Amino acid sequence: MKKLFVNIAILLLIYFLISQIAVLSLPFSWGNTRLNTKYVAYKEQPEVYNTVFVGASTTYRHIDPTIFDAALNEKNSDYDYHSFNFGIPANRTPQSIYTLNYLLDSYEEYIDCVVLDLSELTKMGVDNLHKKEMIYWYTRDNISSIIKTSYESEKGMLNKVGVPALHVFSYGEKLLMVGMGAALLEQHTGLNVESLSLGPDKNGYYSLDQEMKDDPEGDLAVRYEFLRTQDTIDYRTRQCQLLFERFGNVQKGYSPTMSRELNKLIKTCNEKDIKIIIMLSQRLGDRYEYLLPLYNSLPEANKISFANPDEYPFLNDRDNLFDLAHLNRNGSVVFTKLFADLFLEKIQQQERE
Amino acid sequence: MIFNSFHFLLFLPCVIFLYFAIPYKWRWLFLLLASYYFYMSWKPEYAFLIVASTAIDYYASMRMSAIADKAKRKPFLMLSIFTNLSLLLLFKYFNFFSDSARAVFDSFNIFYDVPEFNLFLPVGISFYTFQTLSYSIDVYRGTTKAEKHFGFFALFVSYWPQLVAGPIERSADLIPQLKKDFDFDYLRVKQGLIRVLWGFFKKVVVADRLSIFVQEVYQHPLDHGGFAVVLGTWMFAFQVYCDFSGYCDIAIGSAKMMGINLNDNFKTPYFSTTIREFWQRWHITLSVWIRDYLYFPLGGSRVTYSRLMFNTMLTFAIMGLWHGANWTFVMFGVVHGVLLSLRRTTDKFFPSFRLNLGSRFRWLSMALSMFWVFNLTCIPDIFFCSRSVGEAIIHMQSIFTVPNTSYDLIHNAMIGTDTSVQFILSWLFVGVLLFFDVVLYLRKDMTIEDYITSRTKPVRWAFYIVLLIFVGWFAMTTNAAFIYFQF
Repeated sequence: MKKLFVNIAILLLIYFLISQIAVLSLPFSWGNTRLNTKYVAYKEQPEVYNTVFVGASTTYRHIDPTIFDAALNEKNSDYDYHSFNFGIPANRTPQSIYTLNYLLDSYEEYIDCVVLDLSELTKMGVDNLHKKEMIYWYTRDNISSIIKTSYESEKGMLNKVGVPALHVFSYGEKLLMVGMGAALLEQHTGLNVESLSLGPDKNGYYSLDQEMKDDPEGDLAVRYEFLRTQDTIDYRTRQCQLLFERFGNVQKGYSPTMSRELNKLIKTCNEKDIKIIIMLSQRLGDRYEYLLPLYNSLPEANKISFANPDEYPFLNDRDNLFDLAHLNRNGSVVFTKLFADLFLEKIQQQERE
Repeated sequence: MIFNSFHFLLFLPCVIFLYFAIPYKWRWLFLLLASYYFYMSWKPEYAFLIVASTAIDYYASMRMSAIADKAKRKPFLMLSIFTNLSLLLLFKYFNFFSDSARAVFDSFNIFYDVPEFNLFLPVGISFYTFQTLSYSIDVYRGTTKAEKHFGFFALFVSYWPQLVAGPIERSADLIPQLKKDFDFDYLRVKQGLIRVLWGFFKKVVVADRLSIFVQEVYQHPLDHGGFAVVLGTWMFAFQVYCDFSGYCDIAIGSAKMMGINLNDNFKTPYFSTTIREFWQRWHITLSVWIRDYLYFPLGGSRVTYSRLMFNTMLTFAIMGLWHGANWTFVMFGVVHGVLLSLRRTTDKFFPSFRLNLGSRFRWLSMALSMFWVFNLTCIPDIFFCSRSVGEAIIHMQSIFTVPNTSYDLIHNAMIGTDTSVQFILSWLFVGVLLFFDVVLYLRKDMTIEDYITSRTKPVRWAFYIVLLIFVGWFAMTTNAAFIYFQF
C-alpha cells in the first residue's frame, strides 16, 4: 500500500508543479467574459481614460461614463474627464479591489480618479464552486484577507467555517487549474469577448433596457415583468429604510479586515496622487448589516452613499427602476448626473485636504 | 452521490482504504453500509424500495430453493416478478401509460380521470430490478443456487459501484466474488485507478463538453440546419458513449480495486461492422439480459422468419422502453429493431450482399462498414436525444435544410466565436478517445488498464500525467448527472 501512496503522491506533485508552471508562465487572464471584454477594450487605449469605475451590477447598469464626463466637464473647465466603467454583475468587493489594484499596477500613469462600489463581501455558496468567475481573483496575497473577512461577516458557526472553507477550496482549484484549461485557451485566442456587453458607447456601461432590447428572449424580460410590481418596490423600500435606521450609524465594523483593506487602498491611492471614492449603492436584503458599518469606517472625503432611501426617493420610483435592484436607462441618467455632482464635491474636498 | 462530484472523490478512497483495513468477516457489512450510504445520499426514502425488493426476492428465492418441483416454485417466481415489475411500473411507467391512455381516450372524446402519480423516479431502479429479476428467474430455473446469507444477497442487489447504472450483474458472477477474501494487491488497485481515471476523462472531459453542442442543437429544433443536426447527432453518439461507458469504467475500476471484476459493458462499439455486432459491443450486460430472459423464451432465432421479425421488434421495443418512459425511447428501440430486421432480411434473401473490396482492401471495407454502421446507429439516437417523437421528426427533416446562421451554434463555433474553443476541444478529445479505442480494438478488445500496465514505465507515467492534466485542466465542472442515471 505504501508504494501506491508514494506513487500517487509523486503523480499529484508532478501535476501540481506543471499547473504552477502554467499559472506562472501564461499571461494573466480574467475568468469573467464581461470583464475580459471591458479590459480588452480599455487596454487598446488606456491613455484616453483618466477615471475608472469598478464594482458590481449597480456600477455597470447605473453609471454612464458619457453622461458622467459631460456633466463634470460642463462644471469643471480645468480638467477633462474621460471615464470607463469596469462594473460587472455579481462582483464581490474583494474582486473589485483585485481589479482596481490590477489596473493601478498596470496603468497608474493614466489614471487620476477611481470609484469603487461596495458590494457583497465574500458571500459564497456551494453553487459558486468551480466557476471560473469565482476562481481567477484569488491570490496568495488576498486569500488570507478573504478568509478573515468571510469569517467576520458570516453569521453562525456553520457559515463562519463553511464559507471560508469554500474559498480555500476555490483557491486550491486555482492553484491546480481545475477546469480552467478551456477558459485560458478562450482568453489567449482572443475569443473570450462578448462585445455587446461593452454597451453602445463602448465605455463599459450597458443599461438593462438596452440589453433586454438586444436579447429579447433572455432572462431580463422575465425579470422586468415580474420583479417590478409596486407592492414589491414598496416592500423593498421599507426594508431598506428599516435596515438603514438600524445600521446607518453603526460605527464598529462587522468586517474589520475588509475595512483595513479598503483603508489601505485609499492610502495607496493617496500616495500615488490618485483620487478615490468608495460608493455605497442602495442594496437589498441583509447586506446593510455589514456594508453600512464598513462604509462608516472610511474617511468622509472618500465616500458617497446612496444607502438612505429617504434621501434619494428617485431610486425607488417605479419609473426609474428596471427590476428590484437596478435602475433603468431613465433612472441611470438621473443617477449618473447626481453622482457626478457628489463626486465633484468629494474630489474638491480631497484636494482641499 | 454522482461519480463526478467532490463527495465521491472523498467517498472512494475512504471506502477502499477501510475495505482493506477492516477484518474480512466484517467487509460485507461495511460494503453494504457504504452502498446504502451511497444510494441514500440522493434521497434516503429510495432505500425503502431496495430493502423491499431485496426482502421479497430473498424470501421468494429461499422458498423456491426449498421446493424440488418446478411447477410449485412458480408462485414464488411470480411474486418476485410481480413485485419488481410493479415497482418499475408504479415509479417509472405509470404516468407514461396513463398519459398514453388519456391521449387515446381523448381522441374518442371519452372522459379519462386517472390522476397523475407525482413521485420522483428512484435512481437506477431499472438496473437493480433487472438484476434481482434475473436472480429470481435463475433460481427458479435451477441454474443458480439461492443465496442463504441475507447480507450477501442484499449486497449483491445494492453493491454501490454498479447500483445505479450497471453493469447488470448475475448473482453467479458477483456473489462468489463478494464472499472472497481479497488482500491488497498493488497491481490490481493500480489497474482499477487507471480505469477510474479513464472513466473520468470520458465523462467530465469528453461527454460533458460535447453536451454543450448537443443540447444547443436538440433543444432548439427549428434553429439548426442539416450540417448542424448531423454534427450534433454525431456528437450525441460520442456523448452518450462516453457518458455511459465513462460511468461503467468508474464502476468497474472502483470494484476492481476491491478485487471484484464486474462485466464489461462496452467493447469499442463504434467499430462494429453490423448492427448485430453493435449490440454485442454496446451495453452488453443489458443486451445479454434481454437475450436470456426475453428473446430466448420467445423462441429466439430458431423460429419462422415472420416470428423472428416479431421477436426482434418486440425485444427491441421493450429494450427501448426500459430506457425511459417516453415514446422517444420506444422509437429508439423500434428503429434498432428495424435496422436489425433489415439486415436479417438481406442476410436471408441476398446473402452475397456485402461490401467487398477484395482482400487487399479488406481494411477499407471494414472501415467503410464501421462508418456506415456508426451512422445507422445515429438514426435511433435522434429519437433518444429528442424531447418528443415530433421533435425527432423535425430534426430529421432539418437534416435536409440549410442553416439559419444567426442561431446555428455549430456554424458559429466553426467560424470563430466564443464557442469555438470548446468545439475544437470537443473533437480533439474525441480524437484522443478514438485513438485509444483503435489501439484497444486492434488488440482484441483489451482493456485500457491492461494495455497501459503492459507498457514501459516512461510510457505509463506519460499516460498518467497527460490524462491527469486533461481531467484536471479540461474537466467541465458542471457536475452534470450521468445520462443513464435517469433509467
